[in-house]
Amino acid sequence: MILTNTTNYFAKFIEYLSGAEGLNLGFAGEILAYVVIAALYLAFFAVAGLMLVYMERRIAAFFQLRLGPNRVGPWGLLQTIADALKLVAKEITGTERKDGLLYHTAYYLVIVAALVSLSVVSFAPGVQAFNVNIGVFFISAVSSVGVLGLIFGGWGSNNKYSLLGAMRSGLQMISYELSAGLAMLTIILMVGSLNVDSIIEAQQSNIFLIQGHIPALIAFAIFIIAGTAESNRTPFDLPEGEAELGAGFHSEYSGMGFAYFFLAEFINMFIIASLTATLFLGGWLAPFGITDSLPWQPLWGLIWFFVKVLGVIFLMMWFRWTFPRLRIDQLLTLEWKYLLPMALLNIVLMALVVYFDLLIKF
Amino acid sequence: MTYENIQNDLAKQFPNLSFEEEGQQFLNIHVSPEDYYNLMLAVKEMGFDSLYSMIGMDWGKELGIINHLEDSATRTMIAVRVKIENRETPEIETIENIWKNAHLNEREIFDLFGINFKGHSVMKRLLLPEDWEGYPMRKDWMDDTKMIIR
Amino acid sequence: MDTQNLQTLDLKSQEYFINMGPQHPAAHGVLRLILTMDGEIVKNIEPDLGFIHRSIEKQCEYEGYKQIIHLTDRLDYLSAHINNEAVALAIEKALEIEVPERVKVIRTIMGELTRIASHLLWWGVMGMDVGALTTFMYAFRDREYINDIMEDTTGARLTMNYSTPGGVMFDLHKDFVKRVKEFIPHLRSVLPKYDELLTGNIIFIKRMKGIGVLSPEDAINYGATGPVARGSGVASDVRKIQPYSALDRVDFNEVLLDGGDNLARYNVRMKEMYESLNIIEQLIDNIPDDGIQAKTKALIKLPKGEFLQRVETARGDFGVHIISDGKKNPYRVKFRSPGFSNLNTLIKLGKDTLLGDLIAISATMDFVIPDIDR
Repeated sequence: MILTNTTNYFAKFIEYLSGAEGLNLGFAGEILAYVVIAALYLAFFAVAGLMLVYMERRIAAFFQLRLGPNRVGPWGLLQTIADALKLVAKEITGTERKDGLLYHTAYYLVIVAALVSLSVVSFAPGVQAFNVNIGVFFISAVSSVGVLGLIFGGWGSNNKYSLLGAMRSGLQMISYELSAGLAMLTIILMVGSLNVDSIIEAQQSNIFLIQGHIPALIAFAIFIIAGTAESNRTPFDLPEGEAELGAGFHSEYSGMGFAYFFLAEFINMFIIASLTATLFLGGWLAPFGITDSLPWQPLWGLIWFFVKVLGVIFLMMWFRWTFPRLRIDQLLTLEWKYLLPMALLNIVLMALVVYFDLLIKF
Repeated sequence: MTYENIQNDLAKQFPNLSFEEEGQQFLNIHVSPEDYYNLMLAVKEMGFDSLYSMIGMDWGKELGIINHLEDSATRTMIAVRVKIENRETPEIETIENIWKNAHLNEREIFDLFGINFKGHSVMKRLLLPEDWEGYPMRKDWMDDTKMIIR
Repeated sequence: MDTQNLQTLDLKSQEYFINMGPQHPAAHGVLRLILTMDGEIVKNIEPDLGFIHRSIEKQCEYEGYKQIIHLTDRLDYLSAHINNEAVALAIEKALEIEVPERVKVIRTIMGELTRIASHLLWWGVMGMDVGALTTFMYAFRDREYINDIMEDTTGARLTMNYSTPGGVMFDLHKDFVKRVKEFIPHLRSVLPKYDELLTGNIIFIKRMKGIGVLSPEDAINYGATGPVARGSGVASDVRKIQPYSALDRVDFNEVLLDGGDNLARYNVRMKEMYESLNIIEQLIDNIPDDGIQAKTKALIKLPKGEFLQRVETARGDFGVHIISDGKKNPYRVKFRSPGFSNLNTLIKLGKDTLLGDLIAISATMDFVIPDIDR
């Protein structure tokens, strides 16, 4: 089995810098290792964010029968870098009587939430920064800090529309976290542990979507819907896309403040997609159980992981450019009257399936 | 209903009307400002349930309003004209309660001609800013900076 | 606790004002609505117009009759040709000029093409308002075909200035008939797909069905015309009441639907596009060939009196009143715009609705603000 003899590359790096065999820098070495790993994740965050924005613009263009950015760099790949440079050069204005502390803390909070969630995601065997035993639950808990960031932004802007948008957005996010959490719980029933590695290990034979047949399919649908609502995308982008609200809670932000909110939204989408890939589609495992036979394990793991994640992201972008958006009361009705009871019943169903050992395993 | 019937019915109720049909497309009813509101009520009773348009006029000496009314069942159209003598403070009753279409139209006539409609719910200027002085559609309105007449 | 003197607290939430300002992404033009809100519910709407008031009516009093036509296509710029036709017809009615048959047929075909273009743009913006952002691109791509056809013949894509008193300005381009005949089957094949994109979607249906119900009596009382009234079952198509140009010899249905809600108004406009295609198909094959301009004097003076001409634009019943006193400039010109009365309807329909519903209702009303502000 792959997982028992996999070393965590980050742990090896920390060991190397601080321990006896390597450079032996002691405690300072450990701190230096943490800083380097954090910088690595920050770099990944930035590059992934930029690439996702480019992907969104290209996919949107193809859906709308036009071309999209194709001038800056080969195939327009450097377009988002040009946009990022423009945003960096702008002044962060604010409103006249804004609440300075809340206004400036808001965008840091969403970035922090996104980055901390990113540390638990397992990209390949051994490439996972933070291997806690409450893995997926940790992500769900930390994303609540992001909600706090939105509400700070809405209140601190001293603007009625931002406040309306922030209130709607906060309401939406805490409602849909329930369904998302319950859908996650359905899958945990099959594993018995919240640890990300255990979940992927349990999918060695075949992925949970096939193992858990009907209850897992229902949980997949619920999780995709709730995940789209968590990251404030159409059809649930009422807080930020409504005609009279302009941009919702981040309408008073410019320059880097706006860039942080924007990037955080895309990284949230990435995290939801990675959770889907981990829980339902098998994480970094290769299909048809050929994982063991491939050489250069971490590289192949990364490739399979990104293929699955990008597939789910493409699905979410497809939703965005096709569906109209729901009104706020229709959104809440969907969650509290339909998704939540369905998720609860689904847990019971999955419990029965697991108890009577009706999973499909081969 | 033909124009003769309308003429006969209305002449019985309001003795001071005068009618005109020569050279015009529709039956024109001239009414004095005192009988205006009651005539409008009577016309609505006769079945003219759609107020097509309200035109504010400046006839040189007096101000006036021309209302075009239509019966949506038979598609008959008549025009009711009223002339207001007082150019300094022109006033007339509102017909907003009879046809709701008059709500914005009367605001526009107040804005551009200065006719005050008594009893209107929101008697404010509509198209021009709140602090504008003067009534531009009147024939004697001259503004050196904003008008260029060749 | 002293329970005898316990008073029930009267919890009243405070009402606040929100400005749906002149610039907002639901781009209908520069319309400012001052909303009094209680939480998420709109209690009162007060429109603040005048951002694009250009005093066209006063300017018409200083221009000759041949020149006021060029001002009218800036009114409702999406039905520019039909506005021009209205003024030209009013002057021809006053002077009792008989226009050639070719002119009538050309004017009707151009009018119906304009109507299709206007409804396509409305469909694109409607999708954008409720959140489906792709419809905008599809609608404009098809509208480009019509704009190209117009540009070949008249020289302009939006403000056509094509009708004159007595005829039209230029003859048809030599490719006109061929291009229109290519366009009609193309539109017939894509319109069902466009309809399916929105009406096949349950999210869209839930935002449209049962929202913004306008009863027929209210529609007549508020003076609503056009698809707003036809969606409530009120027969108000001027093309059937007083046919003008070549409309008396074509066969088409007036689209009347019951219900009065957003979905009914939406369906009326979608079906009207098919009816316009039918009209064009009946006329495109045999356009008579007897000249494009009747003889008029160089300086037109209308006889004394008052003349009204009503036409059916894409928004409703557009009326041109010309009051003339025999001189070479009109004494008073009044444009009865359909959007003005439809705005009255919005004030009534918007009470006690949610804010998202207000956006959807005003999208189905299809305002063009220069039409209202003149």
